Amino acid sequence: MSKNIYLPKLARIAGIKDEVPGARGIKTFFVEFPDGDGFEHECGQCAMISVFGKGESMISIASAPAVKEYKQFSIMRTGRVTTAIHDMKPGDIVGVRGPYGNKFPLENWKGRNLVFIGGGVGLAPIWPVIQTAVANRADFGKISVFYGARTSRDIMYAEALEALRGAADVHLSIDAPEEGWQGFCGFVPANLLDKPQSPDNAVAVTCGPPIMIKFVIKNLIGMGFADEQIYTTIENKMKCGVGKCGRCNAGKDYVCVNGPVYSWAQLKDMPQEY
Amino acid sequence: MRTWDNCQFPEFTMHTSGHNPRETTGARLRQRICHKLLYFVENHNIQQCTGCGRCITHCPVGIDIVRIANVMEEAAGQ
Repeated sequence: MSKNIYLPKLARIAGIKDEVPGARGIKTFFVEFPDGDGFEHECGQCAMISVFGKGESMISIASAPAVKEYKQFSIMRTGRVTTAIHDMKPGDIVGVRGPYGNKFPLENWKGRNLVFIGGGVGLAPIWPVIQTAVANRADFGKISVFYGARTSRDIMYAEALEALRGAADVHLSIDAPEEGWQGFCGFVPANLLDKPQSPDNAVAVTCGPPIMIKFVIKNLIGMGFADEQIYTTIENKMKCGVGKCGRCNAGKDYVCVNGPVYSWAQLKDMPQEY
Repeated sequence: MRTWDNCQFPEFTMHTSGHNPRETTGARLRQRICHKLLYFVENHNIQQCTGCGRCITHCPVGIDIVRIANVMEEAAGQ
């Protein structure tokens, strides 16, 4: 009998880090494969995480491909599966299958300036790209990271973002003013407008809520970025992960196979089903 | 465990956030028709509709896939 493509590998939660508190909190899970059957991945790929008796969810792999010891998943508590994962403890077993999807073409971006724009938990899908770019700092020009969250308590990877300063320009924002907040107040697209980025020899990468992505792309185009210079990763609902079930497709394009990474040049001609 | 599911249900594509890429019945009908007559042909070169008419007989709101196919054909020719 041929191999069952839906069969997950067993993985152990080695560590959990609380990122954001609250009802829609975010936790980062460091997952390792005790049976030694882990897999390699590329920046931008996803994996299907399963909790037995609850279901499966497609989650971006947030660790850089260079990190071999574990896979990192930063997960917001929103539904049945993510709530069950949030209730788990180090040592608990989850199922993982993958990796799925395409990748950010980082190898084509050498020598170019990189502008990252993330919002909310949407920092996780572009985090491996940021990590890889910073780890190979000499290969790239200027690196800018824009990140926004609802409040200062909702900022994920807070220490890691601070640690990026020096290697990258970090521009943080929160939606409404707070006492003691040093960064920008307002939505992410407005923060981007406030610090215009040159399109010369640059690539912009964005991920966040659909409405944020829409206005970020609009603002990037306004700054002179060409469609081919803008990349995003769209995270539609996925069930199978292998281009069969017909949930994540935008037109004939199955996001779990052909995506989740698209340039705006590709995305603008696809039906707006994301 | 099996559950009743269907690409015409709004929950089929709804994100956990509540955002739904195919929110309207029109968007979901478009997906059903285009999947059968367009996407699957483009991706796998196989027609998914045999034209048997069973879905036309049983459709509670009178959706006629043959008529839609003819309209699409006509529109493509223009």
